[in-house]
Amino acid sequence: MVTSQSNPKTIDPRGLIACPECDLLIRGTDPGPGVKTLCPRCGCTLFQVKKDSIERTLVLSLAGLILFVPAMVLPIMTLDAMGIERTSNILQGIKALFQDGFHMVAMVVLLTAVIVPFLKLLLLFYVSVAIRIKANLSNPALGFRFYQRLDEWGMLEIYMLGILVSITKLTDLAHVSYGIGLFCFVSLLAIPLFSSVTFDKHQYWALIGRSADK
Amino acid sequence: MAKEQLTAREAGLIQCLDCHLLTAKGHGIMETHCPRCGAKLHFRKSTSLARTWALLISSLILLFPANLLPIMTVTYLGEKQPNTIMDGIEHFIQSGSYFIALLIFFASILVPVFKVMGIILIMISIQKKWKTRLRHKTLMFRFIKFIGRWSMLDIFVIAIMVALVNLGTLTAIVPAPAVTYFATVVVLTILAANTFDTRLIWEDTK
Ligand SMILES: [Zn+2]
Ligand SMILES: [Zn+2]
Repeated sequence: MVTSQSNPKTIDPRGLIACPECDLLIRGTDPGPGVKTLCPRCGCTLFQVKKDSIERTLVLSLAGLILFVPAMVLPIMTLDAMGIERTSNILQGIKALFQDGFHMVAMVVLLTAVIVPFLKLLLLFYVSVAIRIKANLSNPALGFRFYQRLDEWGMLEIYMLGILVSITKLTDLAHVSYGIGLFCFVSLLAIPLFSSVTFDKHQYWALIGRSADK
Repeated sequence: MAKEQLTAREAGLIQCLDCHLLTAKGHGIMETHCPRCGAKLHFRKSTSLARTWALLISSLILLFPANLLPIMTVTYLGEKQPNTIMDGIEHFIQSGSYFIALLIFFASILVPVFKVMGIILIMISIQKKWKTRLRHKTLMFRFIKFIGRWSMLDIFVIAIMVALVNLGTLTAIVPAPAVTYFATVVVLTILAANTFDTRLIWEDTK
């Protein structure tokens, strides 16, 4: 069993780290949990040790996976104008873009608001299970690399802002009410917010490296 | 302090950009993979400047149709009206939603332009070897990378409105050509920020 406290020195066996933004070599220091280490030359955050990062991320990503389907499928809001009611969720927006012939834009929205956020949760859950529960899951390193590359392409928080803008835009035109989908969506959004507070990628890499050595 | 000024490259170490492990560069080996995560290792991102230039110039060209052409067609009570990004912002100002107007102005106009211009400026400074304000340039790039994604806002707003405002032939919102150009600009600028290697700013600066 691997202990939950990881030594930041495991970032490199020689105790050295390089700044990802300016390539400066720095001797690995040993800060306590919550302490941020900054690059002395360019000021980028090198690492920040966090407590119980993997356990918390495991639970949060599982919660996210459960909330995901209702957030996508249930109606987010309902427009009531001139006696006609229209409900909308993310998938219907994508479908409408497709039907109007804007396939490329529809694909971009599908990737950034549905597929990538889902894959991110799935990969994070998979890697956390592979590290913590130690099932013989194959290749957590590849999974985590894929997660990091996808990270910025998941844009649910921007979609949420889009919902708020649309509500403001439509309130003078018609009556807008909220659906249950919106509540699932907001809870889903809170998850990456929490997990980025407890998330420590260096701890993941240190543990992935350790299990690969055995 | 002299020892602290050594970079990984000068010490013969390659940093993995995926997992941050340092690996010694083997002799005579053309290509190395990270022993921990399997990613390809390079001292610097390969052909970073050429790729970033290509992506930025394409974005710069596409910014024109994205801003000048209508991004959606609003039909209200049978009256068709094409709307550009700027028209949308004007609507918000007229209806008194100043905050939303400012938000859309930032996300759709200011951020893409600032992003393209900012990275171009940093790249010119690298190629002309202007070795000043290194920390400012790094900070500016970090900021550009952080805000760049938020330009997707208008695309998402359109995706929501198109599905919701579809009340027969009398009142409807339909996307217009600029939406494709704009989405392409956002994707290309995110890719440009990824192909750019910030370590080039700090190269040979002692
Ligand atoms: Zn640095
Ligand atoms: Zn690696």
